[in-house]
Amino acid sequence: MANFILRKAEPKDVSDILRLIKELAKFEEMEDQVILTEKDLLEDGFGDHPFYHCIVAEVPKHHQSADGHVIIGFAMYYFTYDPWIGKLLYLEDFYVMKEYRGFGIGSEILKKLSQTAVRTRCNSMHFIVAEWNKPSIEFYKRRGASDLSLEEGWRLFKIDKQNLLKMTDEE
Amino acid sequence: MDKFILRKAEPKDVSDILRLIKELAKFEEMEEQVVLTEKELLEDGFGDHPFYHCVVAEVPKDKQSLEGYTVVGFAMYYFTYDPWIGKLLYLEDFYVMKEFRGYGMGSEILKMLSETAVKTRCSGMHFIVAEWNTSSIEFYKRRGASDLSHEEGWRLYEIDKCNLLKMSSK
Repeated sequence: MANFILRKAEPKDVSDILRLIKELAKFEEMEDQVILTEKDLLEDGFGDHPFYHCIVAEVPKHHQSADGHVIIGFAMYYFTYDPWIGKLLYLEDFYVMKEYRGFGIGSEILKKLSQTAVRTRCNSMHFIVAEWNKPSIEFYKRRGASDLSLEEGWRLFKIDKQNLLKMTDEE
Repeated sequence: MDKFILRKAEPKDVSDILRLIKELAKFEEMEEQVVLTEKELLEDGFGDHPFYHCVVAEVPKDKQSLEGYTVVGFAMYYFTYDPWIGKLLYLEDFYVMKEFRGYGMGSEILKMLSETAVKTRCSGMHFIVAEWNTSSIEFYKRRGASDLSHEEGWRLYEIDKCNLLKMSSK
């Protein structure tokens, strides 16, 4: 199975994108945490101001998945800003369906993202990986990735909506 | 000293923003790593498509800093996207000059950012903190922040320009 194309996602792809987001979340044992809807994805990705960008991997109809899908991989990314070096490409989600792995689709997606990053004059690509996800860590390290959490001790924090609201109400 | 205002940064603020970025980097012992220029800050923040947003804290001229500055604090942020919950406000840099701390500026900045996040329908605010920076960690924890690196084991990775070029030309 060597036939696949990579292309920019279009509005019609949102249901496949959501499906793949949920599959990836399931792999991370977080499936019930996906509350995003197709409507959100449509507004947020294909409106006047896109909050994310997506590349999808598509196979021909005769190579469709067991459940009949032709969109079998995706990467979601956006641009962030490092105050020391400027623009960065931030890789948010990256997934290829299990039955389509081993054909170089992941590598091609990462290559395309690298080209996008270089073309848009980004200095680097950032992303987070769960510390237990050894195959992904190896995949990225083979391509020159370095663990900034290890080297520089950065920890990711969050303040959720509830606590944000608390702060806005405080005098 | 309780007089200060918070406002959206303007193009004229880029030299103060760069100065404060460098001061914060110095505190993190990374000052030589700041290669960004005022020109880039101007293009990237105040062009057609801003890659970041900034809030600055300003004091009256009679309260200026020792070296004569009136812009004494800032926060740099942008919007990111979580595929599970949607839009997030990402706090990238946040700093108040030492001589102006203890007057509630940091709290007011964070409150303003919270309002921005809620107004733009963000599901949360994310940011990274160095694990040795216990005073900042406490500051954020007092406001309900939780350590996702701890809870969920996330580690931040980077593929730098050199390796991106390698990959893109293969």
